[in-house]
Amino acid sequence: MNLVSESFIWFMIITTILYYLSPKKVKKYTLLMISVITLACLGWENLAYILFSTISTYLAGLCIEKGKNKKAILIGTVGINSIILIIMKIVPYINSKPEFNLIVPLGISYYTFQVISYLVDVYREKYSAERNFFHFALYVMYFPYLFVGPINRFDQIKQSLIKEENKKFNIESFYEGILKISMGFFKKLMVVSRIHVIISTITGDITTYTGAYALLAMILYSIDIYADFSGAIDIVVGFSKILQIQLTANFNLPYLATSINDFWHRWHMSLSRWFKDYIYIPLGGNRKGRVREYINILIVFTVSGLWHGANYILWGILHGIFTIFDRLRGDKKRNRPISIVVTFLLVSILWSFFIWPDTITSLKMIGSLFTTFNYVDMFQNVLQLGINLQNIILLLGCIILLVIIALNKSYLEAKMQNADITVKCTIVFLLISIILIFGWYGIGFDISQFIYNKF
Amino acid sequence: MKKGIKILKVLVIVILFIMLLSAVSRLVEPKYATELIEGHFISEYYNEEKNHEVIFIGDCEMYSNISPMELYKTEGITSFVRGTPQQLIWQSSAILEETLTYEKPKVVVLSVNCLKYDKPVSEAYNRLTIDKMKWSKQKVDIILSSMTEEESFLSYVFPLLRYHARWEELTQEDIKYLFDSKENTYNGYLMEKDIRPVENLPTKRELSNYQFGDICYTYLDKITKLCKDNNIELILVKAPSVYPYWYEEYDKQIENYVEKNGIRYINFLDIIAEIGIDYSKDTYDSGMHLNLTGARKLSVYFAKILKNDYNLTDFRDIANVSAIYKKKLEAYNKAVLEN
Amino acid sequence: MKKGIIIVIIVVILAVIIGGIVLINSNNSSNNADAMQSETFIFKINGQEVKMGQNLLDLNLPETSNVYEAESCAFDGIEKTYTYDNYDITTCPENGVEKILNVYISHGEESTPEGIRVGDTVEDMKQAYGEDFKTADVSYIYTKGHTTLTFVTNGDVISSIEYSLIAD
Repeated sequence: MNLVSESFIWFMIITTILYYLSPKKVKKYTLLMISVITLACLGWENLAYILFSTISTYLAGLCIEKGKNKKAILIGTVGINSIILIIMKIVPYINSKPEFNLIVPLGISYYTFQVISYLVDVYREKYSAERNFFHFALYVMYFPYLFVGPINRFDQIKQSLIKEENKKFNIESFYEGILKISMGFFKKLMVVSRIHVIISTITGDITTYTGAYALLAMILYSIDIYADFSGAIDIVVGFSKILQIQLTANFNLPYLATSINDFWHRWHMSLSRWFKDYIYIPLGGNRKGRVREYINILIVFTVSGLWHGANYILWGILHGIFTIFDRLRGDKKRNRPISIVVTFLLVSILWSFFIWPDTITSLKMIGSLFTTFNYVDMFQNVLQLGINLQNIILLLGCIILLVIIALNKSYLEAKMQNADITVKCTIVFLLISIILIFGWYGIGFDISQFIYNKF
Repeated sequence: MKKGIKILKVLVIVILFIMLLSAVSRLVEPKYATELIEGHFISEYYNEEKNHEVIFIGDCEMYSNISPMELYKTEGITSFVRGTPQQLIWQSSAILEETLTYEKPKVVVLSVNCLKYDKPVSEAYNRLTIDKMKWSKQKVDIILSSMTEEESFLSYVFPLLRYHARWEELTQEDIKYLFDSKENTYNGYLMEKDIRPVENLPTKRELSNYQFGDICYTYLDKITKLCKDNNIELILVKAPSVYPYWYEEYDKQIENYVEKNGIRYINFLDIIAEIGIDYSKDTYDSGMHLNLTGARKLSVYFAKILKNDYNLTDFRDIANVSAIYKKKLEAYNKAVLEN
Repeated sequence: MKKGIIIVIIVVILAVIIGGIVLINSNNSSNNADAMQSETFIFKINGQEVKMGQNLLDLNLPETSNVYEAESCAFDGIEKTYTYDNYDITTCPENGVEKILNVYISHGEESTPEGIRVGDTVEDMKQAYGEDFKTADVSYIYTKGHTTLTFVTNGDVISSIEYSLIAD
């Protein structure tokens, strides 16, 4: 199942209807049942692994709270769940052998991180262990966030997911949710699909497309991965909004970051916070001297790179290095626009490891930025990169629109709060109409899975 | 009151957008007027006077090879070819069912070429058969039985979901035929006048399995029963197409079937000489389909069989029908004489 | 000074790690490239390799007058079949390229590069190609890369051999 698919749209419609038709105390169990059934329909492996994580963590949480052998139980349960995650990360390499055909369960990274955060928080006595198994199961198995996150802390989501029972259908939440879902579809079907074609053309011929083409691919990929990932999050968050469930924010205008350090406070925030709280701080954080602080940073980013895949270790390490440089530079005053541009370019260049299939080619492409200056050639041949002029104009228009929305986010949100119902409806329907007419979906358009699905 | 006004405002917006999307959908849907004209064939039946005593059903072996105008000219037989490209047996069954909601012919002629296929072939061919069908229970059945894996039912209900990308490819045809349509057949017959003779044929390939699929027999049984229940004579035919090869093993299965069910089967490949087909002149694509001269020969031959063996009316003597066919023949003869 | 030491340590660690990664990846790349080479069935005509999907016009094949063009019912697509003494080659002409879709061998002395010809037994076939095949009625279908190699049998004897391009 893809987030941008007819089946997920039906899933959202049916879930919403069943949720609001359920009596108030039953709503959360309805949601749990739907999540379980959906997981089972997608393959028994999905249900089996997540059930194991759910049951082991639930029991471990209760045992840790009792006090006996707390540490051993924590290490053991976290260890088992982590090992399963690590094995699943290696599966793509195992599956290259024909005798193996293992399935990676949906959302394994996201729910493993959630259960680990829960156990550590209970161990640290941040909150009590959840006694109701079904409540806990819903926290782990809430279906929509298994696709791309965000990674939610139990205490932050418990209120809206489990405790609030007296929910009535709310038109404001419904509207906000629909708008957010539409934005997600807009990003995916208007922007991402078109960029993919250009990047595929560039990466399809590494001899011809170097230098300026490589830079174009890097910049476009920056936009692509952000639109793809944030678009997916928009759909998940938007749908949850319709159900009046508040999920944690995952992005805060990452390309307005003024440094790499700042970038990681704005990009995939739920994962960054998780690494900080459950790896960086346990390692000592910045409390054990500068050298240890920088080593800890390097470890965190190496793990982050590894989590994305073995090919991305260097990417992680380089981000770690640049984060350390930022720390070394300190809080010196910088020119904000220049800092934003430099950071954006740096981040774009580092995305190279995600663009080309192997590290050497990525490094070669980065090198070509400084040796091949074929900018004129690139501009002359931009229409040979897989999409025609009409679609290039449409793509640029969509990117500009997204930038304008991002830069005026608070202002627009305030305006929309007070806008007349006619205006609100018009905006949503206009967005949906644009997607239906100009979106790249259906037969002939290969809507590949969201990039962050595979993690 | 305030709530009521809000609801009304929302309804107005919804209606306006539905109208906008409907208009855009109409614009981007293929018109099948001058390009891919085969997509229009299925709909050319609906505006007809429903006085056909013979209905032909099948794929291109039907609509390329049988000319109803020749049947009328020679024996006064009224007929229509409900043929579409790569029409599959379950589609033929639904199309026959649909036809019977409009009229009850005396004879149904089915091309057996489709029995070779027991799976959907392609989305493109499905569209050419289904897109222009009127909405009915049979259209729903056809869609559900024909959809390939990549297709969705909703894309047939809302064509915009399928054809939205055509906004980049709009042509004059899309504007000209926005509210209009163009008929390209003569009672379902597609006229081709080119000549490309049969000079040689590829090697006849051995297949690993000649057995018609179970699903083909299921729908053939359905068609047989439909005809029996409505007192319609069913004739199975194999067109005189020399390529793709029609294997003896296929023929045996048809013969067994017709014997068991008391149906007539005519394999035109066995009586080419009798019909008078000359593959150096009578085909436009090296023997796959007949051209106009070939179709005329076949139609005249078949008309005699239909007249002699089935109790068909000579409509040349019936005023209201002959008046309609007089106009049709004018257009047909004009096309025949054109270069 | 302390900042400098930190930077040097980081750069050294980085260099070691990059070197390791580069080494591992270069091994993988060359392995993959080698694997790609042999990843499809190849037919041979007069010593020339014939791969499914390649341009027939790039090959130096003997002339034949037996060429059949089959057009589709509705679409702008045709298939051309070139019939030689011992085999047929079917192509799909597109933009000046004639993409080979299929090679069909039904008789004669023509054999596959692995030495199997029409008239050989199923056992001979299994010895040449192994047991990794699928069956469909009386056919044995081997798949490699973007090509299938199908042996149609009559009893225990191969009656035809067909190379086909797997559609995208």
